[in-house]
Amino acid sequence: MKKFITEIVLLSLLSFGAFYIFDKAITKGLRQSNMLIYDNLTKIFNGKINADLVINGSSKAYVQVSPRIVDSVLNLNSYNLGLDGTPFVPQKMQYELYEMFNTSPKYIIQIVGSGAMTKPEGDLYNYIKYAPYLDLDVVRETTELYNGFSFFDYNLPLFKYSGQPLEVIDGVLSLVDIHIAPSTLYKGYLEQNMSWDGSFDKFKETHKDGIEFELDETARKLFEEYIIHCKKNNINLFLVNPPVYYEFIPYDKDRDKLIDYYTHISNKYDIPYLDFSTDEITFDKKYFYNSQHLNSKGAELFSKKLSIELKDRAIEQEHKSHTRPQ
Amino acid sequence: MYFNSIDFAVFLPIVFILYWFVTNKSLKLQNLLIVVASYVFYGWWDWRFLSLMLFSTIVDYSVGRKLQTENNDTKRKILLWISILVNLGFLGFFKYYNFFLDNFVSAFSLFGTDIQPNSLNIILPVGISFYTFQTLSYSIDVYKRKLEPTKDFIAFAAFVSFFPQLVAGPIERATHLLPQFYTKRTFDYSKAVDGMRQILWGLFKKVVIADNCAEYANMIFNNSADYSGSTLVLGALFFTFQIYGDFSGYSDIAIGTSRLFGFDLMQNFNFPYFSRDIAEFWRRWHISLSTWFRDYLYIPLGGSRGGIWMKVRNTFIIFIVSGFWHGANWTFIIWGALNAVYFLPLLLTKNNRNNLDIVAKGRYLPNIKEFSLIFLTFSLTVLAWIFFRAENIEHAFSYLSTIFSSTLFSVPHFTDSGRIQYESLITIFSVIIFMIIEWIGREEQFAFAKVQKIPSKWLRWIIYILFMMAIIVLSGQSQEFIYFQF
Repeated sequence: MKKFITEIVLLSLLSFGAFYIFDKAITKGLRQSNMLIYDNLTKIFNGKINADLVINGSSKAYVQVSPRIVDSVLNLNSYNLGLDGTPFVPQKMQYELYEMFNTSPKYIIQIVGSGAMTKPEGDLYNYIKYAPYLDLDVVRETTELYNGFSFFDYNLPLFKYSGQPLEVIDGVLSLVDIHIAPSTLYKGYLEQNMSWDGSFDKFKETHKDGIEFELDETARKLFEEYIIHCKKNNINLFLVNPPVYYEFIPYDKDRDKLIDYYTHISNKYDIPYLDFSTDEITFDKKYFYNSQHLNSKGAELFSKKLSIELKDRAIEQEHKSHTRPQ
Repeated sequence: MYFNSIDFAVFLPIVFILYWFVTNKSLKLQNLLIVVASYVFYGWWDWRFLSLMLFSTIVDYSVGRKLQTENNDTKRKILLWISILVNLGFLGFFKYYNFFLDNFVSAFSLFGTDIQPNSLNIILPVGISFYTFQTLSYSIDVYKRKLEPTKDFIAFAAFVSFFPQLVAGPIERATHLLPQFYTKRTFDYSKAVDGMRQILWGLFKKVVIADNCAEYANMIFNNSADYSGSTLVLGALFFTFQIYGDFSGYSDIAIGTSRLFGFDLMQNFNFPYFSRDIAEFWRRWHISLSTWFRDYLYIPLGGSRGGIWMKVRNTFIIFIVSGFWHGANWTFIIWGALNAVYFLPLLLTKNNRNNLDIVAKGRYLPNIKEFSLIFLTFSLTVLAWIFFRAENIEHAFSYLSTIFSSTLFSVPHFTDSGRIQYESLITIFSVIIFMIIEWIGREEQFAFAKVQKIPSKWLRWIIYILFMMAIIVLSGQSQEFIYFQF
């Protein structure tokens, strides 16, 4: 019995050591990965972005604001940090990570709109992309609010990659600079060269009475903290409500409430709020691939309109700051 | 409590320590600990059903005691029937009540009579089919005077509820397991190490093979109308490995766990997918159930001793009952009948006991004839599994009709997601590795036992660590053990 127990303990310790080393190797590799879901975090963590202008938001930023157009109109270096399928709270976490490893931007375009201010709970889309960064407090504290990682994932080596063979393969290969599926994002922007996919028709059938979007208190509190932080650090923040296909608007039961909220925040902190949700672009189906997202054509047009608007606003703001009494 | 859960990872060492360090001085205490641990293990799902198990235990214990003293044949028969009716009564009510009700309603509606029955929302107690068969074997063996009834209620309760094999087998015979509760168990190092190896192998089968295959099998079976014939073949193959990994994995963990406590359970799977004919497959698949039906149903019915029609009748009875044991659905009955159809030609031509040895024993590879027979048997098995997995008969037939269409020759495709495609390829690769290991270890009790023969301890330990890593990294979404529902 003594031999058995000793061997079990020894084997457990050796396994723990092997798991630890393997975990570290995968983590190191994934922090160099350029696979689609890791690409932005890799660049953030390695301080490779250092943009003048950051576009922050969910998929509504990710697929709708082209840094190529923003750069050409505003003549600066922009980067799109859009997080697919993610509300504001994780967006804030990612931005904090950005500031930890990169120089602060001069401008932030914060894409807002319905769905941004939901309560931090439930599933976190593509949660696995945060696995290599769980040792960072900001990531741990935010991911703990959501489903995805368990107690063991945070505290035992290798468990966070449990059931994720693709991550493990990518991590190991990235370590030796082999990249299996490099991302094709341009400065974080995903070009969606798609035509109308018809999913809105299904939506209309299943949501005849419309859909509600919450305005959660925790999310609001964090949103205001973020605004105050930008103000303190002289970062010019622009709140932008992006276009949605006009037929969707009657289904958005909380639209007025949300617009009131963003207008209120804009006034309270004296930051510009640009509402494109009723722009003429919203009436033309050919610019959308679903009711919530512009396709590449629509994104180009929207990016252009937004950039021109920003150019005027930025000049105006700069002018304001120059004439501000000392 | 699932074997692949954190709860069990905590439960097992606690029971192990209490068993070998606290209660080791007294056999009675050790047996009592097993009973308590088993009731906790079972009650973890639903404590209410503990009463069923306890009632079944008391009835069969009492029947056994009475049978010992009773010499009147009629009274002995009555006692046996009490045990059978109580056990099969529970099973019938919890498992088959709604099935029979629905079929009666359908049958009456054929004659234009509409019945409004009171169908019940019955929860099936986990593992009821397993422990009722185990206790039944006790009563029948005592009745036939093959076994001395026990006077030790605690030992009997431990035999009925023994937690490693309580909910999904192997279904042990009283003649084999019960005496093990009478004798003092001493810790056996090599038995315990072998047990740990078997647990590790069982976890690999369940977590890596079964759970991953389940994801794709479910995806394909649940949307079968959208896919081509070739994709449906892939779905059936995924299910084939899912059910094998799931059930034999459970058996391996059960047997391995038992060995840690000094018990030997019977082998339940013996590399069934390397069988050269269906008769061999049924000697290697769910052995504890097949032999149960052979001993308590097939042989009492006359077995293969009578004329052709008796053989045909008995073969169909045993396979159909076996199918029905798996679940209250016509799909299981058809699955059983299909296997009877596969088996019958072998029986009638007296070729059902041709392949009793290990295939390609002492050789690395099978010869062409062996390979062809294995391939043919495997294909027939895959075909039968479609009925086992399908939601209903219509689903099974539409699944089959798509398979046997021109789309059988297209390239399988079941998802546009690049990620799922990559992951399914990793699963296919894992299954290939798994089958290679199974082939290499086919002369052992379980494939991974072959590791024991590696002379270097360090190499063995490296293999264990690699398998543990594989279990963590390649684990699929946790799925319930399929056989729990039976």
